Amino acid sequence: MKREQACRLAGYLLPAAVILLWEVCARAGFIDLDALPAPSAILAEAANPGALAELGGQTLVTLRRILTGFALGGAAGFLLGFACGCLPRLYAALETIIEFLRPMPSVALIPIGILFLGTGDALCEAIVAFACSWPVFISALRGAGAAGAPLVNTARTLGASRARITFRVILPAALPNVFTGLRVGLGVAVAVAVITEMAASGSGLGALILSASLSFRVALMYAAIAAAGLLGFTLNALFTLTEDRLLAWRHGASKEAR
Amino acid sequence: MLEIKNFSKTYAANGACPSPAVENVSFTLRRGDLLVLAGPSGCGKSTILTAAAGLAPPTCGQILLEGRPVTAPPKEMALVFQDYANSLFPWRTVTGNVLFALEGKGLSRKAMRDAAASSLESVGLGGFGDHYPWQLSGGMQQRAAIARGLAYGAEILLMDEPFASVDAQTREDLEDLLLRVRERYGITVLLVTHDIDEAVYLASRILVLSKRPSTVAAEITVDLPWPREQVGTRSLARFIELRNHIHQLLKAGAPSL
Repeated sequence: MKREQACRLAGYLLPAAVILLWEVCARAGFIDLDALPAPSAILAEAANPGALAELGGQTLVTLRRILTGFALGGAAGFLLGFACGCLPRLYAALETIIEFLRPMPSVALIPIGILFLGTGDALCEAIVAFACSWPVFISALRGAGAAGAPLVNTARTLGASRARITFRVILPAALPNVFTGLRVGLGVAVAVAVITEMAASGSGLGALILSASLSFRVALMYAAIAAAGLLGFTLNALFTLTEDRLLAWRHGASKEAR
Repeated sequence: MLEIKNFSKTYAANGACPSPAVENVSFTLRRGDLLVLAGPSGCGKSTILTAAAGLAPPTCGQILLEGRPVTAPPKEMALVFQDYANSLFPWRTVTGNVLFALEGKGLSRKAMRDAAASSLESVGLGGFGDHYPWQLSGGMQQRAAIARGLAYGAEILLMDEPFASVDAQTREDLEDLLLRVRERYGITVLLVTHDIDEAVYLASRILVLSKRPSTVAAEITVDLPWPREQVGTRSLARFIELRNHIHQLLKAGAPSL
């Protein structure tokens, strides 16, 4: 336990050390400051009121798109995956079209999206939903098989109806898998939201990164990139926290198995 | 009360010739019986039990419960598996697991809680209702599974090698627990084991099955006195006699080396 705490502390110190080293190198003149400004310069840029308002505003725009797209895509991926996992015949019927759509790069669909949805929120949310639904789909598909024959047979001998087995046995047994898929999907959502904003939107962090870069406001560009990273980091941390709360039983069970 | 008539089960492996696992087995489980199916591993004991529970239909033959054919798991039966770790719901506490058996019965919340508590009490898990299965030892997990079967109100407990995955001491404890619980609830038990000593110790009757494809090699009435007691019963001359007899039967049926 002590060792684990030490490692955790090292995990906090490492990024701090990297930033410190970066700052030192920048001040010592080892770095081309036009391409990579010092952390202090980026921070100073981000702290100036105009830039701060812009960063905050665009972060909120991106956050809203991520959450909407993730909610839609996560729900769709879960429902489709769980249904296919429970109903092999449904999966057999849908497998070809799913396996055709699934590997399609979501970004390649942006031009189609623009035709139908324009270049606003709806486009970004649709592309995000499409991209993050697949990891959730796969995890729910797999998860539906996680209950195993002994558990399902136990429920059957205890008089559980098919619906009760589906929602009280197969579903809870699938949740650890589903949450893993959701976590992957959330990461995908952040990345795809920013990419879509860079490709086809006038707003959001992606658009800000691109416009800052094109107008040679390098420090602002870095600040926006950092904001995108921080957004992903925070969302993941919140998600993990929720997952640990909801699946406390698994936490203990897997700890015991270690 | 439970009749197995001309039971046969054939498994068709992919590509291979279908091979019969159980051939023409017939027996009757009477109310109050503790009938043990004993036989070498792989002889199809569990196949018979699974079919009796209504989980998988026989290839040929019939399973009748009080004269009615069993086509789905009947409410009069509960099944206890060897693999207790995978038959308890890991996301439910011990009480939650027992409650699962009561949830379809239309009882009030309080009645369900009380019933769960009393069946946990009867298997010696009184203080462990709030624990998760993984917090308990193997023997305690199996007790929880038994408590769940009891709470379900089953008249027949089907047990598939229930004590094969615990250590020797725990095993004895669980054997005696089963005998006590059977007494208290008046349940009928059909138990599968490959352990001859266990079969003789527990059973009122033993059905010795031959090797695959299994048929009934012998039916033995165990005339040992009740209540059974680990040291006393096992040192009776009659216990040893029965044990050796079954041993011979199984040996005769085993493939010669």
